[in-house]
Amino acid sequence: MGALALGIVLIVGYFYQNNHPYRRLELIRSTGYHIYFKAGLSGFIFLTLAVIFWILIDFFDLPSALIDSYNLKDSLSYIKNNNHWNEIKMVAVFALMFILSAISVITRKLLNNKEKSLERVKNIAHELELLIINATTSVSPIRIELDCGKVYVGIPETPNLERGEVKYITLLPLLSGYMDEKKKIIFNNNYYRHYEDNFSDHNINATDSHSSMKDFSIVIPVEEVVVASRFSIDAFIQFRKDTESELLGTLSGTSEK
Amino acid sequence: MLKIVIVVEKNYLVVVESRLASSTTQVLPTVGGKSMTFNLFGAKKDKEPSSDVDNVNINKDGIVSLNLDNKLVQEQLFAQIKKLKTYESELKVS
Repeated sequence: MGALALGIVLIVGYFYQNNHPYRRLELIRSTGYHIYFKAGLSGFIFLTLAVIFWILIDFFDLPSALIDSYNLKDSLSYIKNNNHWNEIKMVAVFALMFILSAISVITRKLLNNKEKSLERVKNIAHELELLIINATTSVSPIRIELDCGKVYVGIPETPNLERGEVKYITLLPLLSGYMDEKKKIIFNNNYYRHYEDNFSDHNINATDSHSSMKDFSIVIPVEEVVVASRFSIDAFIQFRKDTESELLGTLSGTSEK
Repeated sequence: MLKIVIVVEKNYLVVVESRLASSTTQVLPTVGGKSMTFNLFGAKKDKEPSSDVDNVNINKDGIVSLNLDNKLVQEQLFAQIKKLKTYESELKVS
């Protein structure tokens, strides 16, 4: 019976964590035993609330009053055995747990909106995910430097989570290049030409060769990433112009930020 | 917080802020035609503009993805591309 009770507590806790719009954000970013403890803690809280509710119901003797008011005592042979009342109480407490968790989830879903979700995600996101989220919401580029020396600058489309961690970054590239032996960034691909050739302004879905601009998306495994940072095209251009000043000398044929 | 802005003179604005039981009136100068506003009740983190929220989709797992179907996103994307294009044109000319 103890194992059954523990199982139900965990199930109700997991139901709550998995369906609650905010709790789910944390659950999906948790791994291993953290998930069990989150589910167990929520289940225990609902068990406590359900027991308190049931004590109140029992204190006022509401079930007996209901049965007596409808004269059901003779027809309900199961409740004549006092031992059966304990089973009924237990089932009632478990049912109350589920009802309370469902009410909590539904209420929170009704009160939730996109802005609150975004705010909540930002509060719990890992640093890398936060960088991607901020860049995505402002439609501004980031720079990704890979272990092999390849460098990408582009608008992040989405972080891909797997087992609670960012495993891949999907990027819409604007520039790509590499790190030379002096650790300077050399850009050798400017994707705007491809976009210009294949897509007219404000129309990302129409050409013969590409069904969508999303076709240019690249998926980068996070384990290959050495550096990830915001990238300002304005600052990059300004920096390039500054490098051609007399003070700093000219860096012919190179680009760096 | 309810904020009402009334133009009194060419270079001055009267900003009336009302919050629950208290209200404050302040005359603020304008700079370049834009009003300067000050928070009288301490710093408060600005909320994300709704347009920024519309730039992304959020699924139930909180995975934020770029909403490429949004016209504003497309405009901002092409604006970034245009900057690179302009810069390259400048380089070619020089």
